[in-house]
Amino acid sequence: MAQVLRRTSGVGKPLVRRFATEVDPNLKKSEVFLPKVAGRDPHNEIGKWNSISFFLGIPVCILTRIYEQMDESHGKRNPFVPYSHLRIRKKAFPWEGGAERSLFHCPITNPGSQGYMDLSPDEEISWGKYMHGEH
Amino acid sequence: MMMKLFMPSSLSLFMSLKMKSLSYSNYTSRRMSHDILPRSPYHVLDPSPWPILMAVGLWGLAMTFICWANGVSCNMLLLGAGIAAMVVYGWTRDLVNEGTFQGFHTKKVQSGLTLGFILFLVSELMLFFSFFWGFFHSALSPSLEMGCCWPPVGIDCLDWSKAPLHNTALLVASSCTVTSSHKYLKAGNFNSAVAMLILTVFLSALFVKNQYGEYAWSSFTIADGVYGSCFFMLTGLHGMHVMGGTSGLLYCLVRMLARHFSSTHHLAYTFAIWYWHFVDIVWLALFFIIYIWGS
Repeated sequence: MAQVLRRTSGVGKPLVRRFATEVDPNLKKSEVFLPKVAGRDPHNEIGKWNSISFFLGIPVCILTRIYEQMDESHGKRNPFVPYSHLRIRKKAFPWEGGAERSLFHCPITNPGSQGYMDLSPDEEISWGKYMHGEH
Repeated sequence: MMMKLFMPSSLSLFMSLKMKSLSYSNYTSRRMSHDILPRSPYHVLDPSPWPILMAVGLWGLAMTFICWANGVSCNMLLLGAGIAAMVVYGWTRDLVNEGTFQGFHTKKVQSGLTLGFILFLVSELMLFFSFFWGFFHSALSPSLEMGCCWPPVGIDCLDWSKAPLHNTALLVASSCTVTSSHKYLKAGNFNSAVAMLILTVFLSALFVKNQYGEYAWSSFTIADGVYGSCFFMLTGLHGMHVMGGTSGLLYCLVRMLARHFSSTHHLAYTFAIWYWHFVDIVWLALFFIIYIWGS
């Protein structure tokens, strides 16, 4: 009786709070109504996007990664030239050593305003192996 | 009580609700939305503390950041961040309850939420537009101090065909995988939708890791003239948007695993996907303008 009342448009509607979407859990998957947006059926679109993702997207990611790894110039020091428009020091950053060190400071590739600085004890632990050519 | 035995369950529920509201009328003139039946498809919200608390939390965070940047003691940090975090949890919980479990998100409400999110995306677009304006202001007429050329003298630009191209491939691939996940969800295949969403989050995590690597090894910093300022402001802001978008996708992953989404109603996921496509498009603009044209 309750099922009949729930499905009847005139009597059933005000009795039970209805959600914006309601799918009968006993309905078979093929019978579920899928709205076609702009004439496109979701079932057909899946194959297209899977092909693009796995046969184009992922291989391009792998190939570009391999090409990136072939770069030999990673972490090389450029000669220091005291240009006035670079290494601008108007106000120190609010952390220790902020007068010369930015947030992502690299002691190997980032010189200070007067030239490349010696590594601090903490930096020696993280960056020392790159400086001494052990990496 | 005897009447209940002979009534259908839905009719008895209606009777009990009606009687409940009648009994309240003697004691209170204020109706909460869960006591009465909706008279319109719009969602009239219950009184909520979250907007004012979020304002307080964000004010605390802003003041703390200003104090920290100027070397003033900032003990309010945990309080402001704590309030904001609490509000994010509480407000999201209420939103999920209202939309998924209480059914307030009718088609009318959904269209209103969609319009609001579109306006939010437009505001984000204007944010990036302003920084691109600053970049073009300096790049199209480089000053005498930097050598009347762009990139300025002394700046060793990143090679666009190495890490930036790989990052572009990662983001575009992640957009394809999230679209695939969306199609699976619309077809009712929840397991595949979850799998493609996990792949999407994995690709975005790789992007963030690569960008951090680029930042850590960069030969120039944010303090290296206008080039450094523009580069790190734009890429840094984009990186924060990527992290925000990834958080949104993770949130949708949790809700998808909890079966909050149906094949036709998954507004939060739709918004997360739109935000991800926006982040991808901004990266493409960054890649072609900053990395290729600007070098």
